[in-house]
Amino acid sequence: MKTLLWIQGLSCNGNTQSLLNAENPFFYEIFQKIKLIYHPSFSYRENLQTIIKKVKEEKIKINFLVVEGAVTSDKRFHKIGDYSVAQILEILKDRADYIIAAGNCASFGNIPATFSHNPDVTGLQFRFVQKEGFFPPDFKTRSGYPVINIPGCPMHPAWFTQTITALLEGKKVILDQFNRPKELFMYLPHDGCTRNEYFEWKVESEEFGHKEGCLFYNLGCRGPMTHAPCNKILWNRISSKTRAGMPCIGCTEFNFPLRENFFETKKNMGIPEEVPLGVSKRAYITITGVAKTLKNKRLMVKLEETD
Amino acid sequence: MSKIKKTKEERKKEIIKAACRLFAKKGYYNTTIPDIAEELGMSVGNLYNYFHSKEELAKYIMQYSSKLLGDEIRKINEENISTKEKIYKIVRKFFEIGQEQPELIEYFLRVFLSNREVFEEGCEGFLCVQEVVTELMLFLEEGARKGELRQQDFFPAFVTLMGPLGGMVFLQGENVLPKKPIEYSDELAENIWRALKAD
Amino acid sequence: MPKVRKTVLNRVEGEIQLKLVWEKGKVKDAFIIAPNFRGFEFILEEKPALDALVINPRICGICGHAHLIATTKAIENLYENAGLKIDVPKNAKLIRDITLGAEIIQNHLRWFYMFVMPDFLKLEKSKKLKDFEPIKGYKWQKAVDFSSRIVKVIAIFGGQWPHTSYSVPGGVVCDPTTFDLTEAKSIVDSVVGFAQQEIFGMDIEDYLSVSSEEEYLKKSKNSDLKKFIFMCKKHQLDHAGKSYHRFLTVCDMEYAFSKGITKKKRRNFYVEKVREIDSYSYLTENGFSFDKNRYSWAKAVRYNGLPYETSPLSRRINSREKLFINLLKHYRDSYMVRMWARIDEIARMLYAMKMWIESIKPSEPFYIPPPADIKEISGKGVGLCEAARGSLIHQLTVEKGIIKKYNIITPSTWNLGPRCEKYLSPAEKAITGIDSQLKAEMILRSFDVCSVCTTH
Repeated sequence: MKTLLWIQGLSCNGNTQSLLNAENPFFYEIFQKIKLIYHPSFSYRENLQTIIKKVKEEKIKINFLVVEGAVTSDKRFHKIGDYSVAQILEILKDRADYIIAAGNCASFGNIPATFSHNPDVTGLQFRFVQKEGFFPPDFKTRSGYPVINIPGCPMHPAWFTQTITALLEGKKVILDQFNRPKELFMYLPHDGCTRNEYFEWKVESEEFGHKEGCLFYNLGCRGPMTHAPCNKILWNRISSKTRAGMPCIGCTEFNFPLRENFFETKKNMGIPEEVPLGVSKRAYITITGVAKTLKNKRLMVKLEETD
Repeated sequence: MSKIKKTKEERKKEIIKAACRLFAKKGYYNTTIPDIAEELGMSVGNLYNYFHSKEELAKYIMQYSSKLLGDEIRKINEENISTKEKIYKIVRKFFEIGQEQPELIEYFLRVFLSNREVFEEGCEGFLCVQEVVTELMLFLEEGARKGELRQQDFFPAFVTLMGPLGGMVFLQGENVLPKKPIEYSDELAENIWRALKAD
Repeated sequence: MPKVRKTVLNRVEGEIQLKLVWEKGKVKDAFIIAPNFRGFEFILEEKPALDALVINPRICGICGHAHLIATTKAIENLYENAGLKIDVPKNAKLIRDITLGAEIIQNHLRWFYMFVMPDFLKLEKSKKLKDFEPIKGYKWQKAVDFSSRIVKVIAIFGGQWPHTSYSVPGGVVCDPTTFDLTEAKSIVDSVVGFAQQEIFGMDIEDYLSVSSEEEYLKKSKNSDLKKFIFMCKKHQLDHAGKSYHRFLTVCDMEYAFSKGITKKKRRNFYVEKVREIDSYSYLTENGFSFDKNRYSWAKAVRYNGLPYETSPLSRRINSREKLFINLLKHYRDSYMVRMWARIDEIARMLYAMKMWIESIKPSEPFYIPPPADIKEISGKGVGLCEAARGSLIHQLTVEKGIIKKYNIITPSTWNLGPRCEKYLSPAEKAITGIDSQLKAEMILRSFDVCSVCTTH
């Protein structure tokens, strides 16, 4: 049976918690197919020091090394027993077939990497947009893959379980330029959003607390500029932030959370500074003008009052 | 094929010119399609080959003018120069077009703005002047993004930019301007720049 | 000569090390070491105040929602102190309670079945508990199912769990339909079914009227709580693990609990009496210090100079609930009583959630915009919240909408922080005197250890 070892760096454990919500397969189903050698939250007989020793002695083989949390070598800020997470990675990096960064911290550094008193914090192979993570840019695991990033703050459990399942079944996983599985991150949260009609006709939410209106123009929604299938593979299999009325904050991207004013669309002279991916600002403004002028009457009233 | 098309476009331009002249002189409602055909020395039937109605012609003129001015502003937008220089160039270009094709500007002021009911369907809002508005949006957005223009809502900025240009043409139409509008171009551009620039 | 042994604790949220000083077979002194630090309070400085709504839930993956609520309340309090009170709609308050309740239930389920029961697997070494075995055990799997099911309620209103920021000053972002409410209700009902069948062995409304241990044991059928009580007694955990017998709760939740502090008698809670002491913390008034005596990134928190336990047990005591007043009389604040209170809260929260969902009126507002833009606001705000593990306090200072200072005191800081000159922390105190390493760890886990919150 293939094996999986899970370690945590600077983390909130949100990816572990998110993974527990997995469906199809459920958490305990995936670990009937893979042997979980160690996970800090679930193991009760094993301890990591012993396991690392056994890995070194080649008594245990690791197929999947999963890292949750950002990496630092500064033991003043992070320790696992007597090791730093960096030391553990050094020991294990050439002994795993695949290394998977679970969540945005391990992928790109995320919030821990913005703490100025510890400038040593990075993701596994990236530090935000730069390929200046803990591992060198050309690092590859035994399988030939670089670190596979499954970002998101937290990651969606299905993004993780489907990636693992595909690899387990020997399928090729295509990665994008940020080493995210392309077939997951080729979608935008915009795709499948229940507010799409409002986006098409440029009906803007002015405030929170309404089913109606698009959150992109005023309330800072990053749905059209973020790579994530949040409205294709629903969260907790029931909804998504934008469906509920919360703007997308772009948490699967390399630059999260570097932006400020998450609930405000950055505008110049009343015009959004950034426009949806793939569209020129000129094209976007043109289509906005047309849509606003032509109006869709259905969208002028509360949904309950539509024909 | 392309030759014939080109002639058709040329012909359309001539129709626009003649129509603009008559609309300005006699008013929109007092001008008929036969009047325009007569002015051009072509048959009414032939004119209908180009435009199916007077309203269609009226809307086409707006789209044509918008495209003309929009293309010019776009060229300026794409130049690698400061926002201030762009304002100077946009203002000058506007008056240049006004000088070369005065009927278009006249048309805008005396027909488009005065007979809104004609344009209710298909030309409402910014629909027929989309190119100009889009280019000015891009211009203002970029200026503010670079920090050269003061952040504000789009509409006050838009009116500050376009209002003075229209005003100048209006005064010229009333024959009260001692000099040609283009001779005031730099002064006007300076005023607009000072009104819009960042503190 | 005392012997010192340091162990890394797993099955907690994050990394905690336990340093025990042994003498004559007993723990003479215990040090709870929280070695990891991400620096949230530093990261928040100079950020726009509303961005705290996005940053703060990310302090913790298991109780991040409580951090969101505390942040929202702190910003609302900031407005109020600036003379611009925000009238949060009733619907929004209800939804915040519902989602917080769902998170608390999720936490208690996962904590009990994933973090606590495996200790008994080690202790009992019998086949009887194989249902509780991690990953393979039927009960363990059910706990995953139902803890994941209850957070779907948060997803209905907030879009996802973990880490939504759907609660904002002025209300909540959602605008649910009648059918969103009926679906939420159905989810609660299904978890109620699980709780009745597996955890309590009786109808939860009947359970909530139970007033003594005897009555519970008599009335309930076979259940995990019952099993747990018997195992505690068998291993003398019914009397072990006592702490200071002082309890703190910072806010009320209708149908669920009331605030207060209880030493001998119950009194009102005043946030001004809360002090942090950094003499054993790496974090100091002036920055960082790694002097030899310092051993944790957490600070010690004291109320009126004294250490207090904050927890579901504190909530039961400050609400003067008969069952727990009685348990306390018999066992004081022991391992078993502390744990029971956590399990008990699953029933209490489920019941309250049903009441809250019933009270929502979809035609009324869920959000009312604050009376002024945050960029115009300066001053201070305090946000109080009862999280899964106890009292959570957020304090912020803002100038023209920008955060100048942010301070977070988590329940785990109260319970698992380091000592001060005078007192050990409640968990350190509870461990001293214990005669086994495993039991020492179990008592520590009875505080529901969350290291990521302890230090943030």
